[in-house]
Amino acid sequence: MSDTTQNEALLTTRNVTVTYDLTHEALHKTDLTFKGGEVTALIGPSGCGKSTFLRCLNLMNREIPKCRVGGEIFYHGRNINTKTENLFELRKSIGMVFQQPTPFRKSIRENILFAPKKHGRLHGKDEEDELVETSLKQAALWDEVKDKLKQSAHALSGGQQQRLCIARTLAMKPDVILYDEPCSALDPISTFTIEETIRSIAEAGAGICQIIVTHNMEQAGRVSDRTAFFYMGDMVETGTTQQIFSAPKDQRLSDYLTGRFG
Amino acid sequence: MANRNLDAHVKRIGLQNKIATGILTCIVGFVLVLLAAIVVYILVQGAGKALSPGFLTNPSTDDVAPGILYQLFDSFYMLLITLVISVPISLGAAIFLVEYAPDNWITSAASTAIETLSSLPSIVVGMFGSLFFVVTLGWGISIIAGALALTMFNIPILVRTIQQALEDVPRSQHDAALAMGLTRWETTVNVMLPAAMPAIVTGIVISAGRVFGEAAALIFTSGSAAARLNFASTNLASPTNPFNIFRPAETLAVHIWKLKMEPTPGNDEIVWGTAAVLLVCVLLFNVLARVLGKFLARRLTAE
Amino acid sequence: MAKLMPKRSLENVGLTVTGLCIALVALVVVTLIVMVAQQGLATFLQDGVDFWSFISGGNWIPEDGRFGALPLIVGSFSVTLLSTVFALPVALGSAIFVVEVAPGFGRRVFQPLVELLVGIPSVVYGVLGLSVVNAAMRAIFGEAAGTGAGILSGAIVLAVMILPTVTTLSIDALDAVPNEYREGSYALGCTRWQTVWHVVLKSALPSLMTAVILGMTRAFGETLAVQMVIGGVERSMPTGLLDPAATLTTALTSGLSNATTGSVQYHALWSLGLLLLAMSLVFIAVIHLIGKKGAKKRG
Repeated sequence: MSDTTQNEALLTTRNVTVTYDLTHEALHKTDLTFKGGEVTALIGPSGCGKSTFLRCLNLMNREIPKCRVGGEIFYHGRNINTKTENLFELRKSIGMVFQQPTPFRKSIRENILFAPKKHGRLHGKDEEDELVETSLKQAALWDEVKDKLKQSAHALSGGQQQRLCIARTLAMKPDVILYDEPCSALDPISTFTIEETIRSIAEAGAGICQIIVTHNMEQAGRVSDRTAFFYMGDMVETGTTQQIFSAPKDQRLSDYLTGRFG
Repeated sequence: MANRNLDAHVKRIGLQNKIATGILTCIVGFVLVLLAAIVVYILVQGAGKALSPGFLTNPSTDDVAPGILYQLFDSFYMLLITLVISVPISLGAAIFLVEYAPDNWITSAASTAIETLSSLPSIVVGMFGSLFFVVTLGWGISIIAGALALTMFNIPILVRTIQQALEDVPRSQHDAALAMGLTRWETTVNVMLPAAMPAIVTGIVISAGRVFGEAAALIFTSGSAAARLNFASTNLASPTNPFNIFRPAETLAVHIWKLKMEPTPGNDEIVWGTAAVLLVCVLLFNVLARVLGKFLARRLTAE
Repeated sequence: MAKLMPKRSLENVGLTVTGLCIALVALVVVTLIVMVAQQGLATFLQDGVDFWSFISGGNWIPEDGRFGALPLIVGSFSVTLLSTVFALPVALGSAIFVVEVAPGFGRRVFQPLVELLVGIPSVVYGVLGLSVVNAAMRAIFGEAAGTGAGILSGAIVLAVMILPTVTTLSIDALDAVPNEYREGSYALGCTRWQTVWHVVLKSALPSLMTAVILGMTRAFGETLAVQMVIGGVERSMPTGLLDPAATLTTALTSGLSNATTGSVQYHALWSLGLLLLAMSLVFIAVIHLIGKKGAKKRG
């Protein structure tokens, strides 16, 4: 794992704005701080800008034509929202898990090893075996797949596929993992195992900062330490999850929590 | 009274519906019969000649039993050269359009250029080839000039199929690879291309069938003179060496055209025989394309 | 493991290699257009043939120095339009059948079979047309048909050739109509026929028009099949559908083998090529226009 300690501010955003098609502002000046070892949930009704914000953090918005990200994003104290930032280096340490499980059409083992190999990190079969085992164990998938590592990842169930994607991300040894509604395509039981996995990564003491976008408030309550509420392109309120859910300050947040909209 | 009117109306539109469905069924039946008739007619007309001894193994200059051996060889050889040139270029162009193309006038100009090429009559391509490759570049009437003309004919078809195949791979696969710090190049080569491979292979083989039967682009580039080949030749520069790409060549399709343009007694049989062989080859390409595509798709998902 | 290239260089390599491919294609197209234009315009600029008499002259007799391309233009347009008229009802009917009546059979059996027709080489169509269509013309019209070669024969052969193109594209067009439209119509108690006629065809109209134009593009540029069945009479204007005639493409093919590079006859043939090129561009422009209009309507 990385050598960051608990509670160091890993990612800080300042005045981050996003515009699509050069005119449509999807996110308005957002300031947030994310610390190592913590799970932060980004909640809000659909279209509120939470996913857009998440995709700024590993600069995935750069892949969308006519999308502009303004403001500053500090990663380990360094502004990464610059033209000269090396996207490829950055994304090695900021992993991402998507809404739909996205296993590649390769074996389970190759899914895990694919990116580390391409980054030239692995030397020899022993290292590979070890990486596959530790990553799958961290993602709580090892026991289910250890006998069929050579089989196609597409043969796994949806929940297993999603945990494979988490394992694949962990194999990159990142210190930040971004989850974009990771359970919205899954059944309740698979959802539960994913949440367990996220908690266990947080509690492993490796100092990995996890940020999860979800439209499911119960899920936010179960997995996160801190929560940020987005509404219509604004980050309205942030705080510990307990405070957000028990003592919301903003009227819009309390309306959202009581189910008046969203 | 009103009720009876309604009844009549319902009956009328019901009848209308039935008649329309009947007509549609007739049309489809007609197309199927037409298709069967075309294929069967050619095969029946040509089978006798095509299967006669020597037809597939003799050169067309044979006095006793003229055959199409050299035309057959030239057709496949020309196809091979064409694919060797057009597949990499089309792959590159399609990857550029899908992955790298900036959203600006250069990209749209390039796509318009490809579109223009696809709608050009093949005779215009052949005419251009006859001036540019044959005269300006000084290659003479040759296999390479013909193959390049065919390449121009083939590239727009291939670019479009490959582009479509790549775009049909779920976008999430692409994003997932990029989010792991991989380049677009690595993503394309390792994730997108393998996933799109069945569709790409099918597309290439189908395009091969069209290239195989093309003649208009070849008449003035690779010529319509029957080649004299010596399969024992080891000198690549010799005009009789079958693999010399700077020698003239006559494909099956051009052979048919030429025989039809210079009617001589006995030609008709050879024409039908050649047409039957050509048709069978093209149909085989079609079947091969589908079988290969299915096979690759199955292997890909099973692994 | 071999030393890996830095990611940024790798990305630049990918960009450069693929960019070169597309640049090459674009360059070839530009060269083609420039060359055709240069040679084709030489007829008027260098050899002093009057452009207007080229377009409107009724006699194409290059050996006499008479370059009136009108018979060829008329020939090209009449076979194109006529073949479209023949092919369209059949293609559209088949497409409606495939999408609306029997999708299972249509998709699995009918469509692959029709696509086989695309693969049949045009010389084979020509041979077939020469022996079947022309004979049929003689049998039906007797003396009036002469050898059977003529515009009508050409149009019939072309109709079969463009049938698969128009059918496949029409199927795609009808398929793209959202199912809600159909369900809405059925929910109102409309029959299938009413639904197809009033709802599906109407909303698929722009794409259907594109399908027709693409079919016409193919018919307009088709060469050898037409050449074998149309008779190849370039000298004067055709007076009827059964008259032997010629098209731009067939005149090109038959003329190019005799003309010497640089002669006025040679340039005149390139002028025909230039006309063909211009028509292709017109077809493309029309397709774009239809696309833009469709987008505007929807947006």
